[in-house]
Amino acid sequence: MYSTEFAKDPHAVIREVRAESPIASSERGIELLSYSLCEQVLRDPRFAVGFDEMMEATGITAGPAHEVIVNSINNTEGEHHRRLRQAIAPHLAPRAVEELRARLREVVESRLAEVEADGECDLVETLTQWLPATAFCLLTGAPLADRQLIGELSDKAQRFFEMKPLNREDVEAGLADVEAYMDELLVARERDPGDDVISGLLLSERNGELTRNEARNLSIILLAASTDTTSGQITFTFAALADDPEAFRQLRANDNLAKNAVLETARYSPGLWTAPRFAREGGEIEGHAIEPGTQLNAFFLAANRDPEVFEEPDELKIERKLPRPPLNWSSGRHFCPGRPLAVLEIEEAVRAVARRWRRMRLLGPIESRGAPYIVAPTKAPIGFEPEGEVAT
Amino acid sequence: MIVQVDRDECIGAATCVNEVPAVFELDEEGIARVIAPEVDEAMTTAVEDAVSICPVEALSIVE
Repeated sequence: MYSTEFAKDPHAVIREVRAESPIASSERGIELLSYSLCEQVLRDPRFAVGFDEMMEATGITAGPAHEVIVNSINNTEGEHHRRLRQAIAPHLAPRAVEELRARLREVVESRLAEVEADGECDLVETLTQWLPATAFCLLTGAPLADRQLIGELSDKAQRFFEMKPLNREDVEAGLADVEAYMDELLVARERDPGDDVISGLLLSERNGELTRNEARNLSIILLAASTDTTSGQITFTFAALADDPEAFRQLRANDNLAKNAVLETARYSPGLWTAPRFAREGGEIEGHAIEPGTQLNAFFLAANRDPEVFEEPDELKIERKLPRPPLNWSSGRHFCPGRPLAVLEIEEAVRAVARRWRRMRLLGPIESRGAPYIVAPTKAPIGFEPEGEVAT
Repeated sequence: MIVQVDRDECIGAATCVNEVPAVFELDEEGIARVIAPEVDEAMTTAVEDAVSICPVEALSIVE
C-alpha cells in the first residue's frame, strides 16, 4: 500500500488484490476491500474505533489531548456515546444545516469572484481553506474573522490519524490550541446565547442532558473534525469533475443533479481513504481468524468501487441512483453526523462553479499529505474556462 | 400516522432509535426498522423529530 505501484494507480492494485480475496494483509494489518465487509466491520461492536491505539501510536498516552480524544463522540460507546450523539444530531441534521445554504452560497460566490481574469487559481487557497471554516463559524457563532485560524487549528489536531510519533508535538499543540479557542467561545456563548450549536449544547447541559465536559468535548470535536475532511473532499470532487467534461456539462444542464453529483464524486474519489478499527479481543471475519490487537482497515477507496454494489464502478456517473451511500462518512453507530453539512458545502461549491464557467481543468498535480488516511490537499492548481471560449 | 424507512438510504446511525426507542429499532442487518408502523398519537411529535434529524433522510411519514 505504500509502494510506488500503489501510489501510481491505487485502483489497479485494489482490483488485482480484490480479485483474489476481499480480505488482504498489509504492513499495518488487515485490509477490507469489499463494501459489505467494510460495512460489517464498521458496525461490529467487537471492533473499536481505537483512538486510544491511534494516540498511543502517536506517542500520546496521557494528558489533556489524550483526555479529549479518547472521550470524544467518535471513540466512546454505549450510553455515553448515545448521549453525545443525541445532543449533537439535531444541530447537524439536514433541515438544520439547510438554514446555512444562502450564506454559504454568498461565501462561495465572493471567493470565486477573486479568481483572476485568466481563470486560474489554487483551489486550496481560493476556496477549500475558506468554505468549511466559514461553515463552522456560521454554525457555532464564532467570529467570521477567525476563519483562517480555524482551518489551521483543525489541520494539526487531527494528525493522530496518521499514527506517526513524528506528529506528537503537532497533535498536542494543535489540540491545546483548539481547546483554548473553544473554551473562549463557550464563555462567549454562555454570556450571549444565540441559535448556534454551541448555545444549543450549553442548553442541553442546563437541561441535564449533558455534563459540562461533554458539551465542551462535543464543541472541540466539532472544530477538530469539521474542516479538513470537507476541504479535501471539495478538491477531489472538483478534480473528478475537471477530469470528466461530460459530467460537468450534465451538471450545468441540470442544477438538480448537484447533490447526487457530490455523493457520486465522493464515491468515485474519496478524500478519506481508510478508517481503522481495532480488534482488541481478536475475532473472526468470514472464516479468517483475527489476532487480538489487529488493526482492521475499512478501505473506502476500494469499497466505494465494489462491483458487487456499484455497476461499472470505475465510471463517474453523476446521474446514477446510488444503491448504497459512499462509505466516506462511515456506517453504523459512528456514522458522521456532519455529513449533511459537508454535502451542502460541496454542493454549493460545485453549483457556483457550474453557474459561472463552461468547464474546469486541473493545471498540475494535486499536492497532498495524510494518505492513506485523511488525504489533505495542500495545493490544487485549477483553471476555469469562461463561456464562449474554445477548448484547446 | 405511518412512518417508513428507506432501506437503501439507511446507514444504521441509530439516530431515530436513540430518539424514540419505542418506535424504532435496528434489525439484524443494522438497518432501522419501525416496530409498529401505525404510530401512537402520543408519539407523533417525537417521531416527527426523529424523521427530521435522520442524517441521510431515510425516514418519511406516509400519512
